[in-house]
Amino acid sequence: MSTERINLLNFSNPSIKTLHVAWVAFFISFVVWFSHAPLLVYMKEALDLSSQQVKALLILNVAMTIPARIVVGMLVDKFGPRVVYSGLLISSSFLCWGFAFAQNFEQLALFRFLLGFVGAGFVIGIRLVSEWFPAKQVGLAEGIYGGWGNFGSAAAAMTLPTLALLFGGEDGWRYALASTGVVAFFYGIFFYLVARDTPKGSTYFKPKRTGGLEVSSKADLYLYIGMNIPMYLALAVLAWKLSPTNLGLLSVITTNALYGVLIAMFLLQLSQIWKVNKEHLRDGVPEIEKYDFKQVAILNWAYFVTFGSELAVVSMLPLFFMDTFSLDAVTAGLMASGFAFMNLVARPGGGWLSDKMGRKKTLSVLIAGLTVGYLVLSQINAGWWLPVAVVATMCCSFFVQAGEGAVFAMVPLVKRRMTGQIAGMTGAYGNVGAVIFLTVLSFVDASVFFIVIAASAAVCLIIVQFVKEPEGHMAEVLPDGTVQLIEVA
Amino acid sequence: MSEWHLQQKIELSPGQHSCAGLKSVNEDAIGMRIPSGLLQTTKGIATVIADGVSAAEGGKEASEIAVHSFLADYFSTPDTWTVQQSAVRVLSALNRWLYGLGSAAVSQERGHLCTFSGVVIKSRTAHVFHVGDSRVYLWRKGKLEQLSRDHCRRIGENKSYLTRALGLDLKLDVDYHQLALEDGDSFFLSTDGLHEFVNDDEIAACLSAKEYPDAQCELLVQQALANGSDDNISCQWLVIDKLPVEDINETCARLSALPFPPELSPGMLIDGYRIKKQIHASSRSQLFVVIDEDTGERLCMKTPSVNFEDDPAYIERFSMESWIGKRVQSPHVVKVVEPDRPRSFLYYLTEYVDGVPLSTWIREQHKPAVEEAVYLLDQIGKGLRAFHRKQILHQDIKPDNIMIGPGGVVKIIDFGSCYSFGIAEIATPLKRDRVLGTADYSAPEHVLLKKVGPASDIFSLAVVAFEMLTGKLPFKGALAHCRNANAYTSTEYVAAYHENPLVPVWMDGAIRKSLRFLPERRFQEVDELIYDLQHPNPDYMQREHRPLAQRNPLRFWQASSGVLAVSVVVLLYLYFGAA
Repeated sequence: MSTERINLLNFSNPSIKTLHVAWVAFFISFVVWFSHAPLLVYMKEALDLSSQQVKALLILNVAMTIPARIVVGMLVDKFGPRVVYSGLLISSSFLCWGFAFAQNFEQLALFRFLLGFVGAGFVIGIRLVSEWFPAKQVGLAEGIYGGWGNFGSAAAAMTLPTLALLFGGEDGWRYALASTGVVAFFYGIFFYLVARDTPKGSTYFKPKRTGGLEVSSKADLYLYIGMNIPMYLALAVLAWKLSPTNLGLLSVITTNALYGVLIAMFLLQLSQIWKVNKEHLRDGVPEIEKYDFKQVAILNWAYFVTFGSELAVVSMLPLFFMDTFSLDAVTAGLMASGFAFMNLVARPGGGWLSDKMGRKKTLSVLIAGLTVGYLVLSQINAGWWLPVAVVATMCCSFFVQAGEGAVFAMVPLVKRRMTGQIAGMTGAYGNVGAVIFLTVLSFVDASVFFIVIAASAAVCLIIVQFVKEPEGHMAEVLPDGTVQLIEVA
Repeated sequence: MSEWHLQQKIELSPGQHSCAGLKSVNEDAIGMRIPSGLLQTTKGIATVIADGVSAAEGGKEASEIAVHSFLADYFSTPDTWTVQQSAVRVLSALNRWLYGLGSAAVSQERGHLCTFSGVVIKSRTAHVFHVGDSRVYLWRKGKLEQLSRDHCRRIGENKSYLTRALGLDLKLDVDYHQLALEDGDSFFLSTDGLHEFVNDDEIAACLSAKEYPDAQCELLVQQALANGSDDNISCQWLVIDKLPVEDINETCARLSALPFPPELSPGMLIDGYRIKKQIHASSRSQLFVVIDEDTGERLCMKTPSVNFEDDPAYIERFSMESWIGKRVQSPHVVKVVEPDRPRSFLYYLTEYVDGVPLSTWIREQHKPAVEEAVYLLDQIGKGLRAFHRKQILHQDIKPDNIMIGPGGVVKIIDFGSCYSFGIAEIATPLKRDRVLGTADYSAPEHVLLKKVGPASDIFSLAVVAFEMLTGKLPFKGALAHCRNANAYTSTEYVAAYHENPLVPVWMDGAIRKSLRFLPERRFQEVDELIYDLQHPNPDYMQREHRPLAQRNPLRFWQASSGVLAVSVVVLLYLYFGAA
């Protein structure tokens, strides 16, 4: 079947223009979000940081994103993508400058933590793109948006160390970081001027109830509640990491207060879940609205090992290459960027494979591939020839990012009506994965870190076997063009 | 067909009886109509009773006409109308007819007069209509309650006069109320020959006996006779055994009987329609040009977006689009084409309109021509009027939804946001979507989720008119950003003649009146707006050109009182000061 192609060069088409404006925004937010990774070595020297402190920075960076997704989602509901995205970019530029000119570890930690907000930009663009593209193009459009945007972390790894060198001097890294903030600031203004929330003149309907996810049975309700726990657990792990028992960045009182806040937030969410589902479950869920929450849970875990590991690896890889192969920052950044580089094709490619070869099969193959990939990465040591190591990371990252694409190809098929909410929860799980993996990294060396990821991927591979192939009608086109339905089991 | 998902059946046991009693002629008339199928769903079930006024010569004829015509005409009203509008229109027509027959008689009291009481049961609601002194009772859980108020005045011992009746006066006041029904409810209707002689307790006692309704009616008539009734005696007894059940699974199963079409591309063939090209695709639907392979006719095919595959409210709205479209007949509204073969997917067809959307026309006007704009607006108004006549709101009037075809013929397209008051009366388990419309063109009540009506469409039409005349949106385009009442009321209106000096002041006045925040302060009919766009109305004279007494009555009277006060003081001074 031929589909209406998306002609990416047709800038006069407002939808295409919006797609470009959106992915560049996401790209810049990713550059800002991962600007620290290739420059860590300079920071380590300048501020005399310990390895533990560096690793704490990595975790802090991804932690805030978990709750931020929810907040940003609500802001988009209220103010629309245009205002929120430009607001996010402009405010992130100030945080970025704060981080760039931090004078001690505490300041670095604070600004990195707050910069986690910028990672939630993904949600805004997804909303924007879904408003601008009809159903048959939206999958590809979102793949381009997500994949090309994610490429921002590779761009950061490739350019920032060089930029730091060009600025030169002791504070070159600071100016390199600050320059990403400048870009974000001006792009934020540009975005406000150019982007529009919806195609001009589109008809609006009152949005249906938002908030907690509606589930179809009591058992699903428990599973849903259970699936929320890891998000809070991830944040609790971070609080513990920063507590006096570990890094000592926070006082005992603050740590306990944070635990309290987390428990309160969890209870609040519990009450909201209950509110949404109470009547719904009591009155019986109509057949057409039923879906299997298990599907959501499985996709969440699949995203946990794919996107979660990508965020974790992207954060640590430049430093890893530098330490292992004794490279300078520029070369290390360049070599490490190979991992995120694959995003350009792998992510949309994963979606395409999933469409063609069947959902479950694709997901299984890709996760099996990344399990092997991470096992290979765990073997990398100083004895390896550098190009082989780079090729290994790129091969591994292909499976990781194609896996992400395959997950998001399935998300809309679980329950169309709730695609937004399911996508939001799946995305949050990616960040949960990043926090957990990076916390693991703070205790073990890189080799064990890769083995842990491989092991979780192996577990995930088993979980994925329980996913049900989404059913539906498939159409067949006869030679004379007649469209006929064939039932697909 | 598409509307079948709404099909509902009320289970009931009817009974009625009428006899002349001691009189020689029976001037009462009774009748029920219990249609089957769709008609029952859209119009309901009707039971009516009428008592011809004995003093009048044409009493018998009048009551027969009333019952017969009501039962025939009510069910012939458009199925998009509400029960109230259908019944009231039919009754006022009947009233004029009877009045006309009566005015031939010597005095009006001796003309064709009758009382009228009727109950229409649609979905889970009863609608009661009443004129005169026959009665409607509700029997619920062993209690009898009189719903109607007798329109008569008693003078002296045995004399009573009807204060309201069909055929009495040109103007007719019909008592109307509606109530939500419960299973087991029943309605008892009677003429004064019965309820004057059998009291409420006796009626209740008889109704509580478990008998067939027909038998019970007959028993009550006998009892009235035994109690000395000297009039015609009639009653009706309608027991609602079971109201239609709102079963969401069944509704949804009916809705999803037809699958969504897959992704379509040129060359594909669906039910004999060859896809030519896609004209439009949004996140809600796709629109294609297709050719009917049998006739070679060029048509438009609208298909639902797969985004809403599991959204019953969307599917219902989509299915209702063609249903509504078929009911709006006007040369200025795009025609829905009924396919002559069964559909294998969910879609609908309309005529192909070869032309440009009004939005293009607006863009291409360098200096908007006022006369041409009014010529086009007149046609849009006619199209919109066709919607409103069927008690349907378009809810999405905007330049993109208006096509200018060959010869300058304007057609309103897209039924995707329509609201039918008649359909809204049918209970549904679906949570229906509310239309917010298109930001720049929506009336405030859409955005603020208040009650909408024809004046809301008139607002949108006025925005379109403003844009056609000036090439700009009214209120400097601020409407798109208003989210609360305060934001709306603080918008600033810049008159159309400031943007385009060729626009007369009175024309701007008509547009301005249609753009008021409160719907009740706008025109209530499309025709009023269109008329005022074509004929100068002195009310819209520029404020500065009007006398102060009209422009600001308060200031005028304050000033006059002030002048008077001063002159009183001066006069007093002169009078006493001189002395």
